[in-house]
Amino acid sequence: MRGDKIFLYILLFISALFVVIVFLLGFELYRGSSSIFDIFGFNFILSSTWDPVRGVFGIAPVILGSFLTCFIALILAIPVALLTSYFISELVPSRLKIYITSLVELLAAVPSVVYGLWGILVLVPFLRDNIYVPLQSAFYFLPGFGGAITGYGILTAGILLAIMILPTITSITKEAIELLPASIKEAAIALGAMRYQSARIIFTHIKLTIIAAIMLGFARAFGEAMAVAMVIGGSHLFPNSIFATGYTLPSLIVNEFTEATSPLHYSALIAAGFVLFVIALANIVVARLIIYRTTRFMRLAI
Amino acid sequence: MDIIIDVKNLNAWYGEKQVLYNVSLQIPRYNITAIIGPSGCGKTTFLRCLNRLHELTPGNRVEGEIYFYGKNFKGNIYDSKVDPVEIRRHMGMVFQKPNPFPMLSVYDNVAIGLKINGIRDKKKIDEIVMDSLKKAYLLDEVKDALHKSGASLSGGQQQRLCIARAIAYNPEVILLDEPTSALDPVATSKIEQLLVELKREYTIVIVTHNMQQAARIADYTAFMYLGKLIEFAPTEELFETPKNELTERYITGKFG
Repeated sequence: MRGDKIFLYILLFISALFVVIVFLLGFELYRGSSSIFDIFGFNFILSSTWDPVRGVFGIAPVILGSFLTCFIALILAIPVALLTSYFISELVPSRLKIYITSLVELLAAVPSVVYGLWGILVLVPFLRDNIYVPLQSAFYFLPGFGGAITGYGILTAGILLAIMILPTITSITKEAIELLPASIKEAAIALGAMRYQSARIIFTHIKLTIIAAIMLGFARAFGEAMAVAMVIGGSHLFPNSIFATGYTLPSLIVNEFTEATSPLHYSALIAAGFVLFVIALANIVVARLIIYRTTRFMRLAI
Repeated sequence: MDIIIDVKNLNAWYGEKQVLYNVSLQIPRYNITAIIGPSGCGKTTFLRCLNRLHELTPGNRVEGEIYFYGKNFKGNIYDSKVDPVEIRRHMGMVFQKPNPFPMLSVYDNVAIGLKINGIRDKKKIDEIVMDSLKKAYLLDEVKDALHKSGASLSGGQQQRLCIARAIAYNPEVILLDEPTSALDPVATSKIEQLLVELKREYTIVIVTHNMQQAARIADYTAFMYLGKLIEFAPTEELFETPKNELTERYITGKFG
């Protein structure tokens, strides 16, 4: 009928809009950065020299910084998130569950600039005085434990990101545990499984969802600009110790965009945005593929 | 009569609602004991009290005593000093709907119970898994599919896989909760044959709403109604000369 046709056209238009927006975004980023890729080509990604005065731009250390901070964040966040989600979904009495769940979701709702402020005021001095300084005096003879300690740096940024992505991974995993059919949990318990053993069986059954949750956490950490910019210290050198300062792609853009000195410097920052865009897109595609496989498996299970 | 489970004055609650009233019953070793009764009579709850599964749902409660006389455990399983995990390791359970672990292979579905129960030796696990699949009359059908998902089998095969999983770690009692209600007649008859085989090594307690099934395979039958045990007797006796009028009306199909 006519009404349905109009409805269909509206839906088609809105869906097409999303595709167009993403396409335009990518195109604009590419156009804005084309002068950089014309001059430097792949060297922009592979070189480590960033010198706006001489007009030489390479972001290898920045890309490395992005992956390092995310890697640190994931290593720290994954175990805590998994244990928390199991605790909330299986052990907390249902009366309290809603409060604890809201607390976790509240963590996700805190604006990143607030995380950044807390990072500067609390996390940086705490880590510097109670962790980094003792760590250096204990292991100063090992490579990677030297250098100046400011409290700002890649490791601090990774720790802050871990706290920020914790709620993402926790709530997706918790959801998956709660959606797992009770028959599977009971099967494990009836076999005489102790709590940690049935937790292992539960995690085996939702492992694909866990991977998807980790990918989403990664996406959030990888794209985080403000909080990271406030605690990472800002440096274009390859890190030479675990306490070293550095940059990630978004924090580089945030820090230098307002003070870009030349059109080429400006282009270089847009080019960094383009690299970020491509990596984020690739990550989402992989996450989607995994979620697709998960739902297929779950259909088999029910 | 050699008694393996002695239930004394068992009461159970589902939240605020009482579902079992003073049930007392003695289950003989190496026999099949069937529990029949109309839906909602408490037969499944009774079964789930035997391996302390009922109390897992928040709000549920159990009172009374169940004495279990096993090889390595003798005493009241509801004693406060008893760890329910240990009790469950003496009993295997098969559920109404086949519930193999879908993310585990057919082989691992059986092996996981052994690993949970502390068997680490790969060779030994291999041996027991094959043996259990054979005992469950499943090995011939799945020997080329051992590494496929447990959920890829047919319904009847899945249920026999669950039986293999339940017997693998060598429990003394196997509890079955309407194991054939989701299966077709061919698969049902295979499982019934299997249970008759298994009673040589295990004590079997089966909940069923199918009276013919109880008549075919059970040595003893208990009839429950509205949370109470109405009559418990050798199967033939219960079906041919029921002592209680309710039992007679139920088995002659006057209600149910």
